Amino acid sequence: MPLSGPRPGRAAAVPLLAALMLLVAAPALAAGAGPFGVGAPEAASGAGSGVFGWIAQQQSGFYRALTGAVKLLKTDPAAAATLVGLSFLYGVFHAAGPGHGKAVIASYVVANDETLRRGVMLSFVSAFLQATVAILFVGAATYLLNLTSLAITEATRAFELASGVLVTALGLWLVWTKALRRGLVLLPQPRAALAGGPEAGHVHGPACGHETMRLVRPGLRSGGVAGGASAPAAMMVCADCGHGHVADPRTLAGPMPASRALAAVWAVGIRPCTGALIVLVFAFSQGLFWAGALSALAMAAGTGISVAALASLAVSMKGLATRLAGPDGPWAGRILRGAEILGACAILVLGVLLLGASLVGGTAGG
Amino acid sequence: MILRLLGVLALILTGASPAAAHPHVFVDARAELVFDGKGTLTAIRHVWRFDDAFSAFATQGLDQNGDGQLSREELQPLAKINVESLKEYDYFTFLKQGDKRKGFKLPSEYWLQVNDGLLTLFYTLPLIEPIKMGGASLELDVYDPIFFVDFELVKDEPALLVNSPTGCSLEVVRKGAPDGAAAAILGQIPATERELPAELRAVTSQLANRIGVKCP
Ligand SMILES: [Zn+2]
Ligand SMILES: [Zn+2]
Ligand SMILES: [Zn+2]
Repeated sequence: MPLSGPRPGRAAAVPLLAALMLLVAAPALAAGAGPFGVGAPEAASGAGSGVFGWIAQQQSGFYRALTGAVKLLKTDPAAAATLVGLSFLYGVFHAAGPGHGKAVIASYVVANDETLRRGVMLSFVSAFLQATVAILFVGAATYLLNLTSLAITEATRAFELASGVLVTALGLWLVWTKALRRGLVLLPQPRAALAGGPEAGHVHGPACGHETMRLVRPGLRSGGVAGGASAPAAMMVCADCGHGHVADPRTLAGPMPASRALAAVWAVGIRPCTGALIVLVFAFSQGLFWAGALSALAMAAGTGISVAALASLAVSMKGLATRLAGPDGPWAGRILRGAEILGACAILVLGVLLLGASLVGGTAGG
Repeated sequence: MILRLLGVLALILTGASPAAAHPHVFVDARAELVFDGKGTLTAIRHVWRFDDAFSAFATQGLDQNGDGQLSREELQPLAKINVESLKEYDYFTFLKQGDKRKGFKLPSEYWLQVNDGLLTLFYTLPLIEPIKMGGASLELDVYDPIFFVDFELVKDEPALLVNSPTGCSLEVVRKGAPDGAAAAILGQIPATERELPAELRAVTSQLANRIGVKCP
């Protein structure tokens, strides 16, 4: 593998990033209320490869087997292990398929230049929040309120709307901080306007991203380098690349990043997944509350793994692109910044699509 | 190299990975072809039995009087929503004479029943233009092109002729499990897509449950 691409290739990265953003906006997520009016399908779209068709097949198989295991549990307590295993696998494959959850988390992680560890953490927290919301919601809907499936489907839409609003707000905020507020979208900011000085070249602040990016594996930011009591704010702007770095959360517990991460987690977690909803209602209808809860949590573990893998892949990909561009060259900064902006735009687009889909009465996402 | 990396990154972020509709509802289906007794096909009558999980979900909270039974009256609001929602999906019913698609009116009768925890939907789709069968052959497909609903024809008498002229014959081709290639193509169909391009439809229709009818 060559350490750096040809020059013209690098120069083309800018229009390419712009084109990619358009590509992001292309898929439409709107769907109807479902063919039977209750338990609407999760929809997503885009161009892709056959792997996902295969995933859909596996998912379907595990789903069937796991509803079978719920029934078996009535007579055979040993089926609990089977149920947990199948739910876990269903979760892995479900999240590996399309769905806004993983896209939002992966985009958030890239947009914020998050560490690999934080990305993995966010993936699991959002997956388990989604399961918890589903368990509490279905528990309340069936045991306390005895809602009909129609009412449950309606409520799911409300959750979805809330999710859309949250994702959109997060996207707007990220696009504002990552792109607009910093001025020109992709060009480096004039050096004079920034600390560091012209002839000093690239002077890294204590929390500067690609300084450490060069030292450790992509995405794995060492806490030691980014530390330092001198870090003044949550956002450090790099002198060379104009690339704003979110300070390491372990050294800077600023309210802003924490609440934003929370927003991302809620945006994903608030919309219960249709598969989980159906399984939960089914288990509860058999008087098997714990089986339902267990299944939902095992699904979350599986979902968390898939989402974490994807988020890690995104982080690594970004790191690798930066390294190939040469950590000291101007392109490293541009790619980092471009990736952040891409991530921010992706979240905004996903949010708008989700919002649109839930407003026209459909569902979207996984 | 860098460009490719960024491209993959963008794909990841958008979750633009494909559609992959995947079934959450499984239906055991039977189709009845209803004739008027004078050799004209007038309607398709469907009997669709849902899987236990979806049955439990759909009937949640519908036992109004709390007697532990779901009466036809208690289920009727759900049946109404079922058939109303199905309209947008063409009732998953595709009737063709040669290359010509035949349309249906709104369902004339519909109801739900629960047996052994399984919910079954009965409904009748009248043809907009009844078909005079003399010598004609028809093809009836029952399937979900986007695979949110997994239809399977029942083992015993998957299709029935009702009041048909003597000598009419039925031929039933069950859908096979989609092989790798077909599954791959299925996975690329947006779950929202209702009008598939012809070449895609050709592939997905191989996954259809196909009922052929011939009358002398
Ligand atoms: Zn820097
Ligand atoms: Zn699903
Ligand atoms: Zn889902």
